[in-house]
This record gives sequence, C-alpha cells and structure tokens, in this order.
Amino acid sequence: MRGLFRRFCHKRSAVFGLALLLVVVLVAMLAPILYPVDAAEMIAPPLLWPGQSLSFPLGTDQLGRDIAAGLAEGARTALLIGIVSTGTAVSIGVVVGAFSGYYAGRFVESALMRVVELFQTMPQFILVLVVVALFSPSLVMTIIAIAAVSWPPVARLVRAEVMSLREREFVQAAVALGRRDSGIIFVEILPNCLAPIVATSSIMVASAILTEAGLSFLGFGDPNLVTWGSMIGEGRNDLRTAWYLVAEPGAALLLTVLSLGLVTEGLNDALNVRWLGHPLA
Amino acid sequence: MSIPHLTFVGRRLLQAIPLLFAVVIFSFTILHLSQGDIADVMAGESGAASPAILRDIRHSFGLDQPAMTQLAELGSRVIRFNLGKSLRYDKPVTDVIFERTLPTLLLTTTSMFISLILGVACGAVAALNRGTIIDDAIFVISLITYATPMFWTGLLLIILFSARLDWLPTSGMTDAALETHGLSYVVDVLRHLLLPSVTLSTVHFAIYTRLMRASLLEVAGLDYVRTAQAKGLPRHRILIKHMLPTPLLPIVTMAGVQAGALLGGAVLVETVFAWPGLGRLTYEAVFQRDYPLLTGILILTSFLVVAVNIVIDIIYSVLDPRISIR
Repeated sequence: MRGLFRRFCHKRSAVFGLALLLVVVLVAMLAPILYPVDAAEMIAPPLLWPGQSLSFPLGTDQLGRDIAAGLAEGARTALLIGIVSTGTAVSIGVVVGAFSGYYAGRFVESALMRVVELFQTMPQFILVLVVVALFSPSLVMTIIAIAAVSWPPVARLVRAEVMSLREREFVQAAVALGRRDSGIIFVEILPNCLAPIVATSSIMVASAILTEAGLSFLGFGDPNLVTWGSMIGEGRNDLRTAWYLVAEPGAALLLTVLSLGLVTEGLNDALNVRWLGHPLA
Repeated sequence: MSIPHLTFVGRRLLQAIPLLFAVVIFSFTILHLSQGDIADVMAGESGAASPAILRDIRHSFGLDQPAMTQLAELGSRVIRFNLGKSLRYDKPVTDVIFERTLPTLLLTTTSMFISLILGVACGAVAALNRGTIIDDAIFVISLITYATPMFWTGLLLIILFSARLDWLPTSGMTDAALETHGLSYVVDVLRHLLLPSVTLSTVHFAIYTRLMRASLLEVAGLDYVRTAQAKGLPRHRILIKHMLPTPLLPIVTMAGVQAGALLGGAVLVETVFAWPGLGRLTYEAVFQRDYPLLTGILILTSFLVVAVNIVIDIIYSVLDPRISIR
C-alpha cells in the first residue's frame, strides 16, 4: 500500500490532481459550517458581480443567492451522486462480470452478455434523461438511473479478467480442492482484479458528475438541491449581461472532473493498468 | 464486394434483429412503468377530466388493453414502420422524427470528423514528440477538453463568438430572415453548424488523441517498425506506410463505441444552440411527456447505434484481413 502511494506520488500531475480533489472534498464537507444559511435562501441584492461585495466574493445570482454558498452545496451534491452511483454501478458490474466470466460459454454468460449489449446500444444520456424526467427528478432516481447505465463497461472489464484468471493454476487448485464456485470467485479470483476496477471507478465518478450536471442543466435535477448544473442552467438566461453566473459553476465542474482524471491517470501508472478506453484512464 | 463479404453483412444484419427486439421491449417497459396515466396529462391540458373523456382517451391510445397486448401492438407497428401519433405535434411520430434526423446526422457526423481528424493528428504529433513540451501541451489540452462539460463549452463559445465578437450566429440551423438559396444557403448552414459541431467534438477529440498516442507508441516498439528503421527507410515513409495503419483499427472501433455518446451529447448541444435535431426533440418530448414520441426516439436512436456498429464491423473486416468474415 505504501509502495503504491510512493509510485502514485512519482507523477507530479497525479499529486496535483489529488490535492485539487482534496480541496473539493474539504469544501463539500465544510459547506454546512462555512455557509450555515441554505444556499437557496435569498440573502443579498441580486446580480452582484464577483468582487463587488466583500461578503459575497463570488457574487450573487438573479434572486440574490450567494454563489459561493451554491458552489459549496453543489460540491456536496456532485460528490454524493458521483460516488454513490459509481459504487452501485461497480457492484453490479463486478457481480455480472464475475459470473459471466466464470461461466463463460454457458447459458448464464450469453444471457448476461445480451443484457450488457442492450445497455450499450441505447444512448446512455437519453436513457438517463427519459428515466429521471418521467419517473421523478429526485436525488435517488438520478443515482439509480446513472448507475443503471454505467455498469456494463465494468461487467465487460471484469468478465475479461475473470476469464483469463480462471485458467490459472491457483484457481484450478481451488477447484480441485472442491471449493464452492462462489467462494472461488469472490475469495480467489476477484481480489486479483482489483487494480483495473479501482482505476475505472475513479473515472466513472467523473463521468457520473458530468451526467448529473447535464441533467440538472436541462432542468431535470432534484428541485430541492442546488447543483452546479442547475446553477449553469439558471444563469444561462442572463448569459449576455452576467456571464459569471455560468462561468463560475462551470469552472467548479471542470476542476473537479480534471482532478478525478489526474488521479485516475496516477492510479493507472501506480497500479500498472493498461489503457482502459477512457482518455484519462 | 465479394460473396463472403456479402454473407458477412447479411449475417451481421440477422444478428442485430434480436437486439432490436430487446430495445423495443425495454423502451416499452420503461415508458409503461413511468407512464402513470397519459390520459390524465392530456385531459388536464384540455381542462375537462370527466371519467367518460378519460375513458375515451385511454381507449383511443389502446391504454385500456393489458400491457402484453400493448407491447405486441407496438412490436407489430415497429415492423410496419408506424409508431402512432405524437401527442403534441398531432402528426405521425415517424414524420416528426424524420424531419429532425437529418440535422442531427449533419451535426454528429461533422463533429465525428472534426474530432477524428484533429484527434488522430494531435495523437500522432504527441507520440512522435514523446516526452517533449509538445507532448505535454497536447496532454494538457486533451485533459481539459475531456473535463469540460459540453454544454458549458457551448455557452462560453456563444459568449465569445456571438455576444462579444458577433462573428457567428447563436442558434438555429438557418437564418430565417435571410431566406437563402443555393450556395448562400450552404454557407448559412455552415456558419450555424460551426459552433455546435466544435462543441460536440471536444470530448471525443480527447478520446481519439489519447487512443492514437497510446497505440502509436505501442507500434513504435514492434519488430517490423524497427526492421523498417534498420533498412534505412526515411522517417515519414515508416510513419505513413508502416506505423499509421495499425492504430486505425482501435480508432475505428472507438468511433463505433462513441456513436451513442454522440447522440446523447447532441441532446445537450442542440438544446444550447437551438439546433432543430433529434436531441432538441428529445428534450421537448421529455418536457411535454409525449410518450409515443419518446418511444419512437428511444427506438430510433438505438437503431442508429446498431446501424453505425454494423457499418464499423464492415469497415473493420475490410481493413483487417485477419478478421474472419466467414
């Protein structure tokens, strides 16, 4: 573990990414202390430009809401949705991938892979948008929808790893010892697939955050939450006169996704994972 | 095309049929579960929600039938290429969708070519200058283009090129006030196309750049390239004749994977730029809960993805003779 961290720190861009990510996490955790007033509360004159007032360094929006407070609450929402939906997607993907890889060639595998194929055929963002908008634009539904479309690549990855590990001697030995299949899969095989799973997860958090931002930009985010996407969507109406309303939450999104990308890159190098098909992975 | 190629194409098309059926069943299931009651929505609109009217509306959309009957009905209509009537447009769903398909295909294919050409070029330049400042610069650019949310890029481009500089139009596909024809029509569309297609290409550009760089570096160490170097061939010849063809295969594969992402991205980009395509139609249909139209969009966009992937498989089999087509 320590060796891993040392290898990770070898790359300056990875360290920079990690530091940036820690700042975002810190802001998200401290948001309720820094801004005890609800970010949706109107507490100031509207449309103050950044720097115009010392108590609102990032300015205020059309309704006189503090943008800095909105960004802090947005960080909470973004990280929450990114992490929980990725956790769910990875769990589904690992289980599906492990079983279809272990039982390759049998009916279970072909059935599971058909489902994977179906999910990879339907355009992800359209599917998420339809599900969230028609069922209910809530936090939970957003997480479910994003998780539901993000697991197939994990399943494919894990399946390929399991298929190659299945033929190795230590697995054959476990089979010869009469261990149960589920024991072999979860105790013997899966721990050896951990590296690529970890590397994929961190970039999945980034794309989940971007998907959620797109949804709430279109107006299908949870109406009770302040998110970066919804701030951009509302600021869009005053694009010509007050472009900072759009620029600031967008910059927060950009920095967060960038930090996750750099961390992924560092993890890949440290874990020695080959290219996974993501530009940053 | 030879006989084995034709049978390959035929088999590939046959293989797609069960997948297309799965798409229809899945789309129906989602919309059926979420539907609540379409009659309520419609009757609420007209302000007359008496039980008799509700029953009439349900009956006219076949909603009083059991779910399996409705699904069978949808299946048979898909085969007959008739997806019913859109609730809002009061026109057949297929007509509404086809009007919007061409602008989206124009937007997505333009973006795909922009990202492919720039991505392959930047990836190659980065690989050839590995470890230099040029490589680092391309890395940073691809990193930022990947991390920037597309709709935000679009808005920033609008601020810069339309609001500040007033060079390019902000929305639509043509200028309604101009009523252009012939060449000036083409120029008008291209002017409108530039910002949205660049916006939509950013993420994909990053993906192709990274993929191109990684696969070129992989090839660079292989024996046949080193043999070519040892023979004393000029550098550009090694690059063009020996190194470049190999990364084309993963790039082509990636283009297929990205087809769905392009259509998804089009929803955001078309909404930002008011581009009259499928993406904007999707947004409107979701907003207005136009269920027949949404069913049609889900099915058609998935069909497009399947079609692109069949074309990719065919290109692949032509590019790489090792792929068995029998």
